[in-house]
Amino acid sequence: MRKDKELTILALDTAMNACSAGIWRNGAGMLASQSEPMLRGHAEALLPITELVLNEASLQYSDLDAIAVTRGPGAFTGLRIGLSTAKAFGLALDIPVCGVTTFEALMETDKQNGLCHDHEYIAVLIETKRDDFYAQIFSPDGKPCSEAMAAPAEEIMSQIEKISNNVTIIGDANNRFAEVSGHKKNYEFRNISYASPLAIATAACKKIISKNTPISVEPLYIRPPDVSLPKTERRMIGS
Amino acid sequence: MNILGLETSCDETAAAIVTDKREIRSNVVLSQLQEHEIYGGVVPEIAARAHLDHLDSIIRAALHDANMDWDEIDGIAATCGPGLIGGLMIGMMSAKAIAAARKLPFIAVNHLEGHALTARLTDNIEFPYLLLLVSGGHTQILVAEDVGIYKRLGTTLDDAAGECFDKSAKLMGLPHPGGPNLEKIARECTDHEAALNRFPLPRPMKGRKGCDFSFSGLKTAVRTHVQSLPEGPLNRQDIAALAYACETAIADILANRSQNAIREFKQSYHAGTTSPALVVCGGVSANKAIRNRLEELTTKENMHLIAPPLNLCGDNAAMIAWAGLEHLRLGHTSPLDFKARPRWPLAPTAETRPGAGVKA
Repeated sequence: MRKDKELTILALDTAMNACSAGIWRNGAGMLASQSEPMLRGHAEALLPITELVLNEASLQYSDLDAIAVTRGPGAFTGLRIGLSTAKAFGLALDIPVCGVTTFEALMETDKQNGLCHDHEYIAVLIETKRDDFYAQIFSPDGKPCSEAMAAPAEEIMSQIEKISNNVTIIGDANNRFAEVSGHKKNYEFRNISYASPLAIATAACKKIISKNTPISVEPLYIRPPDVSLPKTERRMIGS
Repeated sequence: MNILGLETSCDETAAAIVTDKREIRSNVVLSQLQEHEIYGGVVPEIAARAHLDHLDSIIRAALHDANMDWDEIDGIAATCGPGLIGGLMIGMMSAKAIAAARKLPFIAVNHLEGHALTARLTDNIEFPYLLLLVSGGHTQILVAEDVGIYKRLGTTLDDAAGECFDKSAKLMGLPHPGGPNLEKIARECTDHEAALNRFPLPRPMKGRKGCDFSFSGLKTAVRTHVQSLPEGPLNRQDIAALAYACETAIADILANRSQNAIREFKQSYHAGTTSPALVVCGGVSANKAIRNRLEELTTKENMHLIAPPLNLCGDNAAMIAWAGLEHLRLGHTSPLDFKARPRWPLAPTAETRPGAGVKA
């Protein structure tokens, strides 16, 4: 790998309602980036978008030093599209792959949008397309102060209350959360529909450079697969 | 030419490398049997998660077993349908990414064509040939006219043959995977004559014109027989006899419909073929009673039967690599925005059978 300060990272994201790729170089910043909002079609769009940003940055795959990818939570199929692509790039190019949770990526995106206040706690909420929300709460220094969870609004509210009264909610589920929670609290909300490639790459770069942060490409589903054991009573063969 | 193939359409995570000299340089298959066993069948979300967890190490193993590195690979093929969409995505995206990163052609392969072309990998046979495709998801008789060109002579109108095996096995209290377990216990049946008399089973469509299949009536008859057995735990000998009767009925149905297909094939294609063949493929083709029954039939009809070796009957990636290779040497490749096809008929112009769903 090149020196850390020239580290060139391809960032990928298909976890939410967009398909994104970007090329980022430590010290130089974003060389090219593309995010296309979409509800489906990530599997068709991801490689063409990746080739587009490589072209725009005038780079080859062989110029890449690492792959960064959001590893969840998010749509299960979306996560797997991004992770299988990232892992295969890593395998074919013999470079490391670094997963970033969608929570971390959204928090980093928010930070780069420049609207954060000092001493502000952040609750990242991600749409589950069910009754509950994916959520994790972070302290002002960016450290998690709750588990990553899939939880109903009341539980998230009670966790938030325990932690601080200076909490801003970010993510793509704000409107539904405000509605479900009955607009009871005067939370500050900042909508972010998907993570930026810049945020994903910088979050990954921190992990790669720090050396003692474990690097994971495990999908963060949070939720176990929806399955039930067969209901019909089966006759069994005696011994 | 060396092609890497990936297969993730159901519950096998597989990678393999084959060459244009018809060598299988590696063929790695990881079955997820245990993950699905307690549910009595394949759970799509569990399958998709397992494919993602394992595929990269399976690919590494395929390269290692073949003693090859990326520079020696000339193309990447992946099953892109038909199958479970969550699994298809993993293999397809991995293949696209490797192809892009290594500047290699990507070939989207139809899983059924993988089964269909296996006989050309193993036995180097020429087109056209008659093809009986029997698996848990499909039961069809086709004529393989050329790479990518298939004419369907018949299909199931309801369940697939493998599905009939699995559902019957479940009714008999046999564990997942039902088909192989049913075959195993049927071998314990000692008095075949008595078994067939005690458990009479229908042969739907037998004697009717055409080559279509039907299995749902057979499954219903198996249920009735199981219900008629004494209460409490099922007796092992009873189940062995019923399993034998069931397997025999399925073999009879397949042989009867194949016989009609052979006649159609001979009329329309025989003139051009020096050595007409019936190729049986798909997971159910591993069943020995079925192989024997088809062997008798083809001998009688002056054809020869080609059945793949057992390790190539079930889902594997060698067949996907081979199908990719056949397409690639004709110049066929797929774009990187290829969309996975959970439904992907081999003979797209054949009319659909409403009861059969994706099995037609």
